Amino acid sequence: MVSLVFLHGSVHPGLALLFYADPGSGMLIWQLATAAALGLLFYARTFLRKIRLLRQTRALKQNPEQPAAER
Amino acid sequence: MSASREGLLDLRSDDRAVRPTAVSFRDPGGRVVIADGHAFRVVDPDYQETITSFLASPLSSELVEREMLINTRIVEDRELREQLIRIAMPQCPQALVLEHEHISFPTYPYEWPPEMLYAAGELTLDLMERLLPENLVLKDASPYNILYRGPKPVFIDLLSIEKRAVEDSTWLAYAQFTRTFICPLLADKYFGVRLDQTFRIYRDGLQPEQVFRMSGMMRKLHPALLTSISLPALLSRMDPNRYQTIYQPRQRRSAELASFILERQLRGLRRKLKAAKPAAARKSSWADYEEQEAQKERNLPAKKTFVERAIKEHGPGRVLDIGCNRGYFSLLAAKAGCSVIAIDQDPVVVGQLWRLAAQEKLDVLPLVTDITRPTAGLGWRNTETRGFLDRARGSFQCVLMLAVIHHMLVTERIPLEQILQLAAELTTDMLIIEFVPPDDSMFRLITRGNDRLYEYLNRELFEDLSSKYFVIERTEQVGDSGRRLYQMRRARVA
Repeated sequence: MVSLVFLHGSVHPGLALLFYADPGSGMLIWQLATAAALGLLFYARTFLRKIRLLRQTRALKQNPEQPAAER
Repeated sequence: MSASREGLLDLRSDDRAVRPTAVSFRDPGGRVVIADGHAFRVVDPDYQETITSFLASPLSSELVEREMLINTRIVEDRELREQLIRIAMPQCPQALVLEHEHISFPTYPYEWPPEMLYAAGELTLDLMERLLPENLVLKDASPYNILYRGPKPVFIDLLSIEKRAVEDSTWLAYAQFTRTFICPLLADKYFGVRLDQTFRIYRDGLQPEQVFRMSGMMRKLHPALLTSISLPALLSRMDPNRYQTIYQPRQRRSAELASFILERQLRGLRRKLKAAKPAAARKSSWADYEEQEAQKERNLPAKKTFVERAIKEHGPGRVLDIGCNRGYFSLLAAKAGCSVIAIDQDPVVVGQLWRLAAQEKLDVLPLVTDITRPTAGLGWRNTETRGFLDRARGSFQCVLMLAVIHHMLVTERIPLEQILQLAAELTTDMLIIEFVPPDDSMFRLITRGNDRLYEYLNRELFEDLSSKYFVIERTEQVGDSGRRLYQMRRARVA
């Protein structure tokens, strides 16, 4: 969610980029942003695996006698 | 004292008093006590369960066997335990007391060449990858958690290991790892900021913002710096008041998701560390010195024979090689069974020596140290880390000073007698030293025309001054040069 807030902030006209740099927070924000992206990757991968499994199950039901290599 | 099966010493002595030379204070979970050549850790009762269960686990034994983790045992001796608790943690009489294998010559990141800091960073990530499947994590990631045993890094801070919440995907030490390993390596690689400069001033490494300020516009976009330096530096300029929640712990929906995130972030850190890896073929003014001297010096075989004979007569022991350059004689001593500390002021040659020693598995620990300006004790009240001379005095059975004293005399203007006095403090027994006369070509090169300042210097004076501290056992001229090698023993004061 922090990554979404950041994206929103980057187009907001009121965004204040300060001269003061809070040491350490930048790296933590980056870490959380990458964690959010990795979370999306995880869900995408899980979703694709489910789709693949569903297709295999359907194919098996339609052709129960066909060897796996030929499907 | 006798060696236990674990390789740790049992303290058996009629005098049972523990005399601490150092007690740490930064970690709230425990205190390290260095006493009588032993390293103890007194652990707060709140951390005992994690430590004892980890020590009893197969993972702990595996990591010790692979020489990644320091060998540790629980101290059962009641009297010893009570003494140590009184010294380190008197408010917790039920504290756990551990004894670690003692690494006799501790070293610090500001003495390491970039190659050694890189290896320490790799060890930290390797350890994290082994701990994660056991639901453990390192609570901090600092090069001060690592010491070197010869050329091999070993993790010593057992209290860093703690249980992690399985749904927590945040490694709190991520930023510290970046600050203390990646940023200093990048600053060294791309901007020539030496590690000794960085770590002597900044105990906790460099912030991305500091490296960001060193970079030009194009460098800011360099792939090695973009995600380690530029983006975090820019993000740190955002209004911190908006994002106070970033410091809150995060729980994911599943342990599998949290592990997935952590594993991939560790892989990302490994790629960033690799991007900061020092190049193998770096150049410096001293990197070609030994080779040039060897090419000029037809006398190297004779020098080698002299040193080999001296070391063989003396037997294996601890050797300090001062001004080691690429470590020809350090490696020679190590191959003869000695444990060698090799020092030179140039991080490039020290790094090259470390690569060789690590590759050939020789007991050589090379350090970036200028003997004419050695590190002093640093940290709180100058006691958190010990100065080089404090660690080195009386720690070596043999000191080598080959092709180095003329540099100390001329470039650093150290008086000859003081050089010999220092050598006598550093060695407990033998000194192998090379006298370079003022008419030597290298000597004349470094005097830059001020030869007259060294007209007083001759062999007789050198031997006369040496005899105040040493007995000359053997001397030989180095081939057809004017240089002479000396094998000396420390004179015993009556």
